[in-house]
Amino acid sequence: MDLNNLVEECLGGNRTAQKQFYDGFAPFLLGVCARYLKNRMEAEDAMIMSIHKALTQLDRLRDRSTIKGWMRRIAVNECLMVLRKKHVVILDADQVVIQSQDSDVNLDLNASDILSLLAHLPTGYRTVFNLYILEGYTHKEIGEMLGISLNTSKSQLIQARKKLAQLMGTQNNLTA
Amino acid sequence: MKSDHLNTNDTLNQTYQLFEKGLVKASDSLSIQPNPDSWNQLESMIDTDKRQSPRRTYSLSQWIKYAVAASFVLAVGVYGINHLSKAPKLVQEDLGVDAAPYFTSYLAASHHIAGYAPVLEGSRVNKLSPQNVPINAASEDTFMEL
Repeated sequence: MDLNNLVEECLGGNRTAQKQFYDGFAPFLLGVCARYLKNRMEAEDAMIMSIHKALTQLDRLRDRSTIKGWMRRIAVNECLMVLRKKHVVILDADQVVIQSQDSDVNLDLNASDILSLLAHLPTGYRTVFNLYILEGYTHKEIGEMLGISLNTSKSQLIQARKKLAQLMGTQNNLTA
Repeated sequence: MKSDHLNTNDTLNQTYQLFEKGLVKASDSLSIQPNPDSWNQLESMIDTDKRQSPRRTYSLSQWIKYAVAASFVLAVGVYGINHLSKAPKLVQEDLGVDAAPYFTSYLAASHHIAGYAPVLEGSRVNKLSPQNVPINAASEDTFMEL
């Protein structure tokens, strides 16, 4: 079944199509959610909510070729909602104790490496890093999404990079 | 310190930049198999939606029923209001505005026919008395003419 047919069947309430839709997008969306939410259960819940929202709002999707990006945005928004509820989106940089950890530099990253690295970042750093580097949002957009200033977004990103570099063991090569 | 931070992007070393590129590339293809129970959870949410959707249709039909009922009530109400507003008006016309002229004209006509002088307001007692106004022949002529 191609994507158009799948969407049509899902809109018609076909349960088999909905399961197929879930099977196709759930791993990808869970990957997105797990980058934002360290807790696996929270990430799963956000993923389920995202697919549920997508299924109920499929008729609003005009260009079906952009469905992956559309669902990704839904998942990101869902994760940000979870973080907002917990009031832990942005941490003051001074409150974060950066712990030096030795780790091997490995550019061939797999899923667990990415999640492990991101899990070491404080929530605020991780969120801004995800939004800016991995999703491609601008600092202005991030500021609006998180309710922070443009400079706060920039500084959070720099702190995130510093922390990641630290994790890579390249801290000494960075100019402060 | 902030300006130093803002310049950090330029000073990131080659290794970190490669690392970040690798991270972006890897995250694009990042996928994690969800818990098998997740589908059941989603399915129950969809079922809940489905159970709620017939209620929406029912609400629409209910709305139509309410609209018909409301139209009927409105029609009855309009009829009732018209009926009630006319009743006091008729009474008022009879007793207040129209009654006196009607009575006066009736008396004038009947007296004229009977040969009495026309009744004037405020002098009914004297002029209405048959003893004061005798019947004459002209009245009979007038009667015949009528």
